[in-house]
Amino acid sequence: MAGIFNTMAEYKDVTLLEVLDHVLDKGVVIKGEVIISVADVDLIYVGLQLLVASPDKVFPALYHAPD
Amino acid sequence: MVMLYLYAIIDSGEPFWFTEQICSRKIFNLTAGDLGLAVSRADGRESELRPENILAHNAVMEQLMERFSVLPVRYGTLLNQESTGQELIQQHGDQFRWQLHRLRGKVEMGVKVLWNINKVQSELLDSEISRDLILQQLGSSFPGHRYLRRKYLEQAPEMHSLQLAKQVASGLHKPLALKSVAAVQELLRTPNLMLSGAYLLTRESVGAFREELERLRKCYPDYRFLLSGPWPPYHFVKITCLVGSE
Repeated sequence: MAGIFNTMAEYKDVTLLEVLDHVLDKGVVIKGEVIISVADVDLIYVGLQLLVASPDKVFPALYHAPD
Repeated sequence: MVMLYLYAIIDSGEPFWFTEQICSRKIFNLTAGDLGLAVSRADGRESELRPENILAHNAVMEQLMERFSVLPVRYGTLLNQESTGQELIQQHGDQFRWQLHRLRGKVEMGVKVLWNINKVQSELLDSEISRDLILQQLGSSFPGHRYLRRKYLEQAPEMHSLQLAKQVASGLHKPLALKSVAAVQELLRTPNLMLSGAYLLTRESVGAFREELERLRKCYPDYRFLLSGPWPPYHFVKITCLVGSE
């Protein structure tokens, strides 16, 4: 990951958020009574002092322009 | 109850295993013919949204990407038993094969561009919208017109931001998309997150993509750029599968 960071803590916070932004609610979705999935959830990361929720809630899309 | 946590569908029917380093999960391949499901034994806690679980999930995906073509599965997916995995491949194997073929040798790069929304909206006075508002003020004094002008004034900062975001994003997203097999973008997910882009590339073109982004970064010194990846193709896999009944 490349960018402009002020502190190492900021870098770690951004890393976790970037991972969350990619893995949560993206990829192959498998449904069925034999499948147990994590639904969209809100979560407070007390240790990181961040409030993190499902991206749809944290980052409400005001505009989407697919190619 | 012992379940299986599912990370990805991969293009290998060969058995393997490795231990992921963050949570020490043993990852193995649940095979069915020429396809496999990368899984680990689970008791359900692996799906909890904790930093270590999220990072462990990502660490597994990074290792899988080094060896296989992968279809990343949504975080937190648990299979109740091995036969469910076999059934999944039996029912959807053709679709998985086609997607794996399409995405073979390709990775995703993420670009986020941040701006200072307060600075952007302070430039409202110089914008076309501001000039429109001034012209409107010279016009009618009817109550209806005053109401419309007031509503326009309230929405002007957001309209200005969106207008400028479209303009700037066009200058950034299009050249990056030209270096990519496929690309998607989203504007103003948050007020300061002007552009979120995901770009599907061949592995060989990642270097050229980085160079292009560096060139663009120099052209837009007032913006902050975050480049991430390579990722599995999260934004470019859109499959929903039903196993058993819903």
